[in-house]
Amino acid sequence: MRDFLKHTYEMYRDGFRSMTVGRTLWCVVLIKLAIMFLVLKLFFFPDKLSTEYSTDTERSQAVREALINDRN
Amino acid sequence: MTDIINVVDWSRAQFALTAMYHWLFVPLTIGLALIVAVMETIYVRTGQERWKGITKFWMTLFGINFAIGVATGIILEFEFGTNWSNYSWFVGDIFGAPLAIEGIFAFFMEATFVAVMFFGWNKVSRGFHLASTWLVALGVSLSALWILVANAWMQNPVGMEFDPSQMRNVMDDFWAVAFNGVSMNKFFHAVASGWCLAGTFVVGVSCWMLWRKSNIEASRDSLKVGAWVGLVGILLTMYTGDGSAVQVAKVQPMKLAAMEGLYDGKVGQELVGFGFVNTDKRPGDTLQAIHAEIAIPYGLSILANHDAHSFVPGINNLIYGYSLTADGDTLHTTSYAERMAMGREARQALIDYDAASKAGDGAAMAEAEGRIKDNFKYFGYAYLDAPEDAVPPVATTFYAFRIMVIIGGYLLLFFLLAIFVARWKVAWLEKPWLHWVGILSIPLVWICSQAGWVVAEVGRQPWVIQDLMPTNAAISDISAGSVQFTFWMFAVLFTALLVAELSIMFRYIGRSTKNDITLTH
Repeated sequence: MRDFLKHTYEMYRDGFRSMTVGRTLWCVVLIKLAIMFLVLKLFFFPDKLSTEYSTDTERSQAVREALINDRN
Repeated sequence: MTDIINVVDWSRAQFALTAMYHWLFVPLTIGLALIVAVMETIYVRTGQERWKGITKFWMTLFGINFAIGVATGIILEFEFGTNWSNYSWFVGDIFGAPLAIEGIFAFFMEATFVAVMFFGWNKVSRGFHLASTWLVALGVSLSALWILVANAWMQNPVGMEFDPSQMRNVMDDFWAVAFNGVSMNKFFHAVASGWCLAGTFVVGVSCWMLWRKSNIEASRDSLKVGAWVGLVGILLTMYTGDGSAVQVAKVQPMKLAAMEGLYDGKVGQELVGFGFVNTDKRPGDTLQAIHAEIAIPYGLSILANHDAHSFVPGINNLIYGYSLTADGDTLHTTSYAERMAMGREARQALIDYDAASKAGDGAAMAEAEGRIKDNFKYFGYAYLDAPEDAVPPVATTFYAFRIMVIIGGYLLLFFLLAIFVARWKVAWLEKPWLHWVGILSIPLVWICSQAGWVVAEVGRQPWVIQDLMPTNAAISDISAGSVQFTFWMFAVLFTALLVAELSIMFRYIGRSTKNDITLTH
């Protein structure tokens, strides 16, 4: 088991060290994920029902009222 | 009213933008994973080191696409929660279960074995490395499976029961949700189209390297693998496309009618081989539907029902209802006006259920629930103003279908040509015209793939869930301005990602033309 963990660690370590194109890709991935989760999700895309209502009963009531009261 | 329309339109535009950008990356990931696995298998079986180099070259391109594209689909889930909260709640665990399976199973499978695939050369045995590469290929396809199951349920809602107390559809038959005809056809059609797309990409990039007179042997070898995978992909795409047409005829006949611009169907219905949609045409009027039409006799009856003498309903038949006698039985369809009446009855029952629930009247709740169940299959029609509102945009669906089919037909010839040249006319591999056919086919295959989704998604309008929920009822109570703002943010973000991908790919391919890619690096 220790050998397996050691080999796995070494595989990742050497893999990251020998990256060429991968370095640029990791930068792009990290910037992208940061924009998505730290900016978009936090500030622009709240889960509307989860943030505005605290229980499932309230959420189902909100959806029921939205579908009953035809806004169109 | 105007604000609601704006919110719906902007939210739809935003979802379309996000989904279409996401779909630029996904099919290439699916297809390249398979091609890389095939190349590595050749390497392991032959033991030739040059195949290892070729595998690594395409694996790097797979990695670039995978890294840039990964998680772009998560934004769609953000949009569900913010823009489409009624829809998100209404679909309940039917959407949640497949997406959770995707997250737990397929994503972790990919994440684990992608690391072995990239970092495991010379660290693990050849067999284990090859197995990892195949598992990545399997994992990316399984990811697609669960997303497509969720999408297929929106087109063909089965395996659930609506619970008015929770206001959600509750899954009562997982197997019906996951493995019905629509979902299976959709899955194999999408995956096979990914093989076809990646095959075109590999042939096209190989042609570019041949044009630059670099890595000639490796390019020829790559071209052969790309062409064979592409050929298998396009044949499977055509076969499953035929299956999809039969499914659409059964569960979404209005979409099929829109694909053909067909208003008044008949027995032995022809297929429009060529024509222009009359955009002034409306249901019930007498205007000609298609200008300059060249028809293929019996084509649509064969396509839809595999029976040249079958009846295919048109838009008018579906809206106003029709009767059909076959084998001594007469079938009367439900007109959209009747469906609207049933939908409104279901909504009234929901109102009564809500009132009874607030009054604590159990008997009245049970009575209202019974009426909801009786009429629920047309619940969404309650939100239409007129039966004609259930017609999707005909011109967009019609032309997108033809773009998909024409390019699909071209790709079949393209792969046959590539295989013919690679096998019997090797000297043609030096011809610049062949190189440019390959290079220019790359954007075509993406247009084809996107057009397929336009047919599927525009053709099912106005429904976000077929017959149960129209798009305008699915929307959250938010302002159009906020959606417009995030629309442009996404447009900038995704364009930046696309530019990043293309620039990294071009740089990598360009650099490779100066080196021998068969030398393992």
